[in-house]
Amino acid sequence: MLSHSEFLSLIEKYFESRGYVTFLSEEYKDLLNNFFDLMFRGKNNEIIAIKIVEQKEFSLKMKEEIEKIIVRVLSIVSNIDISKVYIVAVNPRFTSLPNIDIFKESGIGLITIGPDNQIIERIPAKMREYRNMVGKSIEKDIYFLVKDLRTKVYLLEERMSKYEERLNNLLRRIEFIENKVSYISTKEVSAISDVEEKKKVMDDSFDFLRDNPWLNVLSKRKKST
Amino acid sequence: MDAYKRKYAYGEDYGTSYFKFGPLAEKPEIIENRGIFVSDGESIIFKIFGVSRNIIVGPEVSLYLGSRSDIARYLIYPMKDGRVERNDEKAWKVIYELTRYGFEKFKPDDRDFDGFYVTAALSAIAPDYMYEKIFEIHSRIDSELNVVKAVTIIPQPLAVAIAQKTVTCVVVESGHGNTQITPISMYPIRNAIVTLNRGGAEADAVAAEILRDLGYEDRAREEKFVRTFKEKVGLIPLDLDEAIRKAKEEPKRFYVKYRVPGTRIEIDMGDKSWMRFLIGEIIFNPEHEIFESYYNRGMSRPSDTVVGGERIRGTLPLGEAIEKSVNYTPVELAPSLFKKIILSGGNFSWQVPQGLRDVAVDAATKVRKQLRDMGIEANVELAKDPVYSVWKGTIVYSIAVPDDYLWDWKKKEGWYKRGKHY
Ligand SMILES: Nc1ncnc2c1ncn2[C@@H]1O[C@H](COP(=O)(O)OP(=O)(O)OP(=O)(O)O)[C@@H](O)[C@H]1O
Ligand SMILES: [Mg+2]
Repeated sequence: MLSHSEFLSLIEKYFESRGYVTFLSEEYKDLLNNFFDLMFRGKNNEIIAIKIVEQKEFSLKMKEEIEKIIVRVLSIVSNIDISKVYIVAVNPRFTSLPNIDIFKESGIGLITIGPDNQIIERIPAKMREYRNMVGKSIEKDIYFLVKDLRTKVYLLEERMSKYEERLNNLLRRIEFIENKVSYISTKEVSAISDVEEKKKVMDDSFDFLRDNPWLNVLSKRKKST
Repeated sequence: MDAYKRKYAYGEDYGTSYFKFGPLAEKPEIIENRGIFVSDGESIIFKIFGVSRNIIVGPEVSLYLGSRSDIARYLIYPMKDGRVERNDEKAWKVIYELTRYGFEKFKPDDRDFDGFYVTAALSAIAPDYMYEKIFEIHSRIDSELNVVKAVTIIPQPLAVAIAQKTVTCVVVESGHGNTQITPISMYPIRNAIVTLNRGGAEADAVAAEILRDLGYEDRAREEKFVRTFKEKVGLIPLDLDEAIRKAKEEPKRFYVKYRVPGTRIEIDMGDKSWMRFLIGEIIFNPEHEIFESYYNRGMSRPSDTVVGGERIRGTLPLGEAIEKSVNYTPVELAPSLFKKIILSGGNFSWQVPQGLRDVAVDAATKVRKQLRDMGIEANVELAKDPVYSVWKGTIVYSIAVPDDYLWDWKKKEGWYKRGKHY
């Protein structure tokens, strides 16, 4: 198993053999420190960014990580002039890669490094055309929207589980009261059936159902013979 | 069974401009009846999260608007005057998505849930193929989400009568695209239905002309803008000539300045403020001579319709159209029909400002006046909740119609059911 820096030099060699030079510039420094692992510059000054993902214990984790990276990449490259992006997956299992369509759709390329340190370009990256500003900002909007929604769902789930707890409490109390009531008297409780009682409560809760003659008219509908 | 049907009653009102839907509640959910087709490239992020769709409906549509200049090619309003063309595949796709959107939103997690009892409301003049398509869409969605145990379709005016708790009446439903006059006595009297090819859109057209006159040519082309302007500024005159006379005499009292929401633009109607009344009048009498000049300028005249072999002018005054419809019903029914005329639909919910009540009126007063001028004394009332009343009626229908009553094409009634029909 190679170390991280050995992987880096392996990839560097691979790109250099294809006519690219390692690229470092003030403008992209932050990105290199915080997100991408390597950058290259080609003959036509196009810039290629590389992100390495190594296999963790679970193949699912890798898949999820790659998907997250793709989202990040899309939001990053919409603001910065990068021509191609490759994700380099180290020792991936078949199941640990997301659906190929996602790469094709997003234009992000995929390179794998096998156990024998062999580099294979599985999906070539597409040259990113310069998108107009509005398109970019929509992508960003959606990205934040999705993030926002996830937070909201999370909060809702939390609230739901609280409600569930309260509901259970209520149910227990109702059960208790029910037992008590039936104990006090079985005779005095009027003959209104449970169902009818419920019906009444519901009718009363919506104005458009209350005393609506159509309920009766329509309930008599049947196929004429 | 009944308890289940009541618990899982679900209603849908397919309006030309809005789709209103949802289970038993105080109010339905409401979204615009439109969808936007996005290219694969654009929906990439949705793909990553497992939602792969080419059509977006609901509030998200607005995320995509304004960001591209060629919207018209992608944004689809599937209905026109309450109809969807038989072979308009794109339009039917949007209807499918809207319908599915509703079920995805409201599908409950309860263990006893095995699908809703769905009542869908369509225009009173919806052709049979629309019924077939709506059934097909629901059965398809049921196979995908298991949410439709049974579905039925009723005409929108019947739904209104139900929501208004009136068994014998004339319902006048006027939305954005058209106006349907339907006499009802336990059942809709189908051969007496009179439709007019006009609705809120006609008032929009007049409002747009007025904006042009005021020098807002660009704004006049924005549908949404025109519509809000109309709703904020337009008035129904009790009598148009009288209203114009008064407005010109006392310009201060009728003066109106419209501030465009969220901006600093103000539209000052100045000495043209009397034109506010034209916006409301067109709904009730597009034959008033004052509109001639607008038609001559190119504003389109509502097209004619045919009822029982008789041609009905698209511009027929509303009062006359109501009389015509009642005349198609059995004579002995007429008096009780005039006893209750119900106006519903967004196009009848006009504002009546405090200080102008001597000349500006609500839609019911206007129709009562039109009928009285023809020598007919009638009770006319506004539906309680004009925009939602169709939906409310569909909910009652779902609750009340017996589960074992199966769909009958002749009567257009009964349940179209899982296990029986699909
Ligand atoms: N306050 C208001 N004043 C005037 N017009 C209004 C008001 N509110 C809504 N409208 C108009 O009502 C129309 C929409 O009504 P509605 O929601 O009943 O239509 P719809 O059901 O979508 O269409 P349809 O019934 O024709 O198929 C629009 O033209 C809208 O501008
Ligand atoms: Mg409607």
